[in-house]
Formats: sequence, structure tokens, C-alpha cells
Amino acid sequence: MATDNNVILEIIDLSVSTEGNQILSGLNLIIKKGETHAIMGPNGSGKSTLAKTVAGHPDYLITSGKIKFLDKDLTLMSVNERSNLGLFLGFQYPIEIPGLSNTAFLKAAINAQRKFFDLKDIPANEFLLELKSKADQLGLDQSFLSRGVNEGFSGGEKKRNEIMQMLMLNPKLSILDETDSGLDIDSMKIVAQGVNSSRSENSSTIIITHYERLLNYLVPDYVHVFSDGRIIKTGDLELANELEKKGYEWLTQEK
Amino acid sequence: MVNSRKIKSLFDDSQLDVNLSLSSELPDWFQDFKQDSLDRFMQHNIPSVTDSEWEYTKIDSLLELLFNRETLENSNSKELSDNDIESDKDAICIHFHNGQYSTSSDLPDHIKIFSKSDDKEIFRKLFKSDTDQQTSFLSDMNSIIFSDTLFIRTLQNQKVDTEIHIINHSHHDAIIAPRLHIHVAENSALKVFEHVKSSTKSLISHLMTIFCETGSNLEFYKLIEQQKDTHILSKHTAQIAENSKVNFFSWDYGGKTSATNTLAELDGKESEFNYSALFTPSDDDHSGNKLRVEHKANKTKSRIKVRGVLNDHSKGVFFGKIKVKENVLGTSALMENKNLLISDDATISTTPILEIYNDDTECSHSATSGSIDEEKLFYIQSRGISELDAKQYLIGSFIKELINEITNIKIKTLLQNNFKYIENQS
Repeated sequence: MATDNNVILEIIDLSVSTEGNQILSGLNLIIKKGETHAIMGPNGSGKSTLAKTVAGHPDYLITSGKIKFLDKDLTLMSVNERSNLGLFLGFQYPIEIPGLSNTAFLKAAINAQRKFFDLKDIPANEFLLELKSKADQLGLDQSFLSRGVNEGFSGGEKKRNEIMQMLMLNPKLSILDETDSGLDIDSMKIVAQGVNSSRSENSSTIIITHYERLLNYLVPDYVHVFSDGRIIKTGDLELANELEKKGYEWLTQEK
Repeated sequence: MVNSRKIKSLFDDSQLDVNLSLSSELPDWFQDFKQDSLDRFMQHNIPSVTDSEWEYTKIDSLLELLFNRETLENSNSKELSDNDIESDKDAICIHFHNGQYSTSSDLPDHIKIFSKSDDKEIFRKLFKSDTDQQTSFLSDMNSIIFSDTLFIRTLQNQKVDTEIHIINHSHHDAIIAPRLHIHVAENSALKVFEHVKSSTKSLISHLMTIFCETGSNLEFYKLIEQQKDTHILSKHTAQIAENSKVNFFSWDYGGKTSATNTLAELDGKESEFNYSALFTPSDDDHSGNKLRVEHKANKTKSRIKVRGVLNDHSKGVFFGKIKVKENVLGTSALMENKNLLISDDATISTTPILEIYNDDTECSHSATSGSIDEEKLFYIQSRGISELDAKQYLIGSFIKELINEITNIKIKTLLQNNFKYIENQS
């Protein structure tokens, strides 16, 4: 395939197994600059596996195929290098790390990224101003910044915290794994606004979700339906609306 | 019994003579005290690795060092390099080099140094009362080796705001025995920070006794920084009277051997003992932490928190026992030991024991040991932080919980600075 400068992520014939079970089987997906893709599909179809594999989780073993990020072979990179290059994974279940404050964590993350590009550490004031404004944007009280990472946060607060991290790190590709699960309507709006504010012609987003509701706010360019570790149908928001009404069965049987 | 030989059987008489290396200027009673200690020491059984206290310890190499002539000669060196001098204008700094007092400045009345003191009689009483109470292997070992003693004794109602900062250095290949006695008089208060810095291949036998009279308060912090191939054996005892409180914090970086034995007796009603300890061994270090708390009076309270972070092939032991006597009512005791194994080859053995002889008590104990949480590690790395740094942050977060409980801001900052992954909180 000819190199296309607009391609951010290129997944070719990817098969992945975890704990001896084959989850992804021959998946193909191309994400271009500025695009938003939604991935839907029944439980166990491989959506989260895709997210974790791309991010480099050690439990997921690539048995065949390729993943290229910004035309580089992603599978050769460490988890942190992938992030430094501009990949962001919004966790389905964000991890609590008591004893490491949100602020210290994010500052270390940003400085790791800057170091990767041979830049000096971010000035403390600049960082704090930026952080406070992002926290405001997501309706997170300042007190969250000094608390341990996700420590004692509610489900909705954890998800907002993920989006805050995303906004601070300014990634080229964000994979949001069920960021809408466990959110009430108000939180979902705030999160959607946060994601929308980060969208630009230079950044791309993959949204993994079970529900069309978030997609109505975000309006993806493509909606893919996963089944048995590969894409069985691709459409647009209409497809998501149809899935909401009919469920996945009509598609998986049609296959 | 596999190993019940007396220590005496390891040495011949000619070896024993020189080891007391006493100066003729010292009073007779001191020489007698030393000789008695030596005699008692020789009668102890050679410790067995099957004792919880000595589990994993390399006792043989340790005892060999103890009566090695060369080592003893090195121990007489008194030079102190500028690097070793710690100064703090807000504290009274007391340096000991190879166990001998090596600061020339004047000390306030509540601090007495055996070698400098004109009135050696007070030390005679001190040593005698110690010997009456306890003659353990560790305390006798200290009694044989020690050459100087620090005695801190407050006056009634004296609240000493100025912290006492003790620095204990050892020369390489030296054997030293720091000895510290703290007596906090009625309704008085004291803050002490002890920094033990050892050079390679030294052996330190450390003894500390704490006596708190009614209504007194002691904050004690101990930081042990060891070079590789060093052994440090510490014995702490605390007797705590009515309405008194002792807060004890220690952080041991580990050496070839590090064995700490602490005994706290809550003698008076409503007395309190809080003990927090961190041990962070690496390489093939051994770190043993033995602790016993005895609740002997009503409404006494103890709180034990011990955490280990074990790297490489290191081995750690925690053995904690809280005893509440019959007829002692309304006590509260908590004992917690958590360990983080950051290498697959590190080992920990943990035994928390509660020995409770009546029902009117609130007790809890827990012990957990685990490796670094892979999901936490992945999460941190996924934000661009290297695996090495991510691990350090996780270790920092594990340690920080104990550090955060320190109320003394200065000490807290000092300890935080020792480990850069613990963020300073302003």
C-alpha cells in the first residue's frame, strides 16, 4: 500500500490472542487524520482487545498482522513510546493509584512526552494554568487535582479525568474505550463536549461504545460493527441508530 | 536442637582479652560492667536461623566480624570527613564517629555524653538499671563493644522544642556500638532524629532505651543508610508510663544484614505507642524486623505499621506480636504489615501475632505481600512514562502513605527528598 501522509493508524490483517484465546481474527482498519470512527459490537467481539493491543498491553499477543501508527511499526514500541508519539487510550476502567497525585502524574506524563521530543520540562506555572482550565472545562473541582490518581473518584469522575488527561496530552489518536459507560446524561454531555473540543483536522478519534447516545453528540464519520474479532459492517451514524433499535443479532445472523 | 552451642565455643581466650580495649582512665565499675557483659554474651546460645528473629541472617559471617582484630583497630579512627558533617541551625547536632563523640560544641544540660561527662556515676546507674531489665544477645553485644554513650534526659515539664539531631557514622571495616538512652521526664516533651550512616563492611550494634515518665511525649525518627556489606543490629526498648506517648518512625535502606528488635511496654494507663517502619532492601540484603508490644495497663493504645519494599534477591522478615494481659481493659491495638516485592527473586516472611487475654479490647492485624500491580504499571506507562519511572512512582505511592503520617514537616521533607518519586506537598 502506498504511503499516505493522511493515514494515522493502519491495521492490516491483525490477529490477537490473550490467555490462549483468539480474540481478533484478521482485522483491517484504516484511520485518517481528522476522522472519528465508532466501533460497536456485542460483548466479547474484540473491541477492548483492539484498544489494549494498540496501546501495548502485555497480556495481548499479536499472532499475525501489522499495526502502523504514523507509518511506524507500533508493535516494536514500548507502551510509553506509543503514548509519547501521540497515542492515547481512554480506559474503560481507569485505574486508581493512591499516593500519586493527579497533578504529579500528569506533569510527569507531559514531561516524558516533551523529553521524547527533546524539549525542556514544561514551566510549572504554564502547566498549572493549563491543568486548571482543563479541569474547569470538564467540571472537575480543583480538589481532584491534588488527590491520588482516580482515588475514590466516582465512575463519572474517573471518565472525566480520562478526558482531562487526553486534553492535556493532546494526542494525535485517541481511543476511548467505553468512555460513556456509567455516565449520567449531564456527565456524558460534558465528556462529549470535551472530546469535541479536542477534535481537529490533525487529531483522530476511535470511540468504542455500546450506545448510540454518545455518538449523537460526537457524530462519527464511520461506524464499524465488530463480531468475532473483525469488522462485519461499516456505515455512518444511521447504522448506529439502527443497531440501537434492532440490536446486533440481525447483523451477526446476516453474516 | 540443631544449634545450641554457646557463643563462647567460637572463640579462644586470647581473642577475648583484647576486645574490651579499655582505657585505664575509666572507672573500675565500668570495666566490671564490660567484663560482666562479655561473660553474659558468651553464655548466650549462638542464634539459630530457625528463630524468627534470625531467619535468613548470615550469623556466622557476622560473628566472625565481631572479634576480628583488624576491624577493631579501624574502629579507633576518629577522623570525620567534611562530607559527613551535617549541620542544622534549628537543631542540636551531635556527631558520633565510630561510636565516639566527635563534636566540640557545648551541649545543653539535658544532653550528656559518657566520654565528656565529669559525673560518670549517672551512667553507672543507667547501665546497671539496663542490665537489670534485659540481657539479650543484642544488648549484651552492644555492651561489649560500645565506647561512648549518649544520654538525653529532660527535666520535669520541660518541652524541648529544639530537635536533637544525632549522626552516627562508621568508618569502613569498623565495628561500632552506638548507645542511646532517652529519659523523658514527667510532662516533658522531646524530638529526636537519628541518622545512621555506615561505610562498607562495618558492623553496627545499636542499642537504644526509651523511658517515658507520666504525661510525657517523645517523637523519635531514625534513618539508616547503609553501604553494601554492612551489618546493623538494633535493639530498641521503650517503657511508657501513664498518659505518655511515643511516636517512633524508622526507615532502613538495608545492608547485608539489618536486624531490628523492638520491645515496647505500655506500663501506665492511657499510654500510647505508635510505630511506623519502612525497610527497603536490595541485592542480597537481609532485613529482619521483630517487634513486641505489651499492653500492661488499661486504655493503652498501640499502632504498628511496617512496610517493606524488597528488590533483587533481598529477603525480609516481619515478626510482630502484640500482647494484652489479663485484667487489662479497654485497650486498642492495630498491627499492619504490607510488603511490595519488586523482583521475582525477593522473599518476605511475615508473622503478625495477637496474644489477647481478655475480651475488652479492640484489635486488628493484617499482613499483605504482593508484587507491583501490572494494571497500574500499564496505566502509568500508557501516559508516556517509562516502565522504570512508572515502577518508581508505584513504589513512591506505597511508601508515601507512611511518610504522610509524619507530623514533623522538616523530617517529612527530608525523607521525601530522599526518594524523588515521592512528591513534596507544600
